Amino acid sequence: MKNIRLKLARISKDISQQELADLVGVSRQTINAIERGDYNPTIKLCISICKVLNKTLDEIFWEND
Amino acid sequence: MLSSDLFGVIIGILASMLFAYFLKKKVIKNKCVYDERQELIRGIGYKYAFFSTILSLLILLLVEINFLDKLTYALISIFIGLSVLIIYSIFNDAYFTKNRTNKKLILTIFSIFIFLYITRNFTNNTYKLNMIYLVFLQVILISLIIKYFVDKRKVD
Repeated sequence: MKNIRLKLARISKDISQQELADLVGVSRQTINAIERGDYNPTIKLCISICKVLNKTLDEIFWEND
Repeated sequence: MLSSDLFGVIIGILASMLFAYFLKKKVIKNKCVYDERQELIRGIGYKYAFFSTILSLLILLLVEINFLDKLTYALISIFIGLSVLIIYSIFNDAYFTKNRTNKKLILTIFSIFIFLYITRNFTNNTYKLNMIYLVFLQVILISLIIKYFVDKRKVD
């Protein structure tokens, strides 16, 4: 399932995939894979992403029914 | 008494280890590490590479090829395993570390092509090994080029 909320949060902060990847210490392809829903990140990476985007884990990674 | 081929292989391995030792220092300095997704993919890649090596060795032993010696058999199997790992990593974006691009690697591969072309008629066995290595490098190069164009089509 695509992670639209991550993409929207990233765009609202006006940062590119590469910039977010550099900030959290992963490759651009990994951020791309998370946004496309091809990869489930570890909780450690989720927290790093949330801290950079100033969001909570629920706001970005919790699935709503 | 060691044969000249075996002696050459041992020298090659020692030279590679020495090269890897100095390269490691540089890699640590530049922090060229794989992220969690890449490590996961490379782990799966190693598994496929292992099975490919075993399977290819088995097939090569069953299908006897007269003009190849035992060393070449073993090397072909290793190259097949390595190819599987590298191709799997390239197409899953796990071959290059965070800040590396494929330009340097393509340049390195071309340099090796030139080196192999220069040393092609050194001895008969070297020629065979060079040919196998050349095919191996061509497979990697083609994979890199295909991946480059696949990535170009994708929009961020």
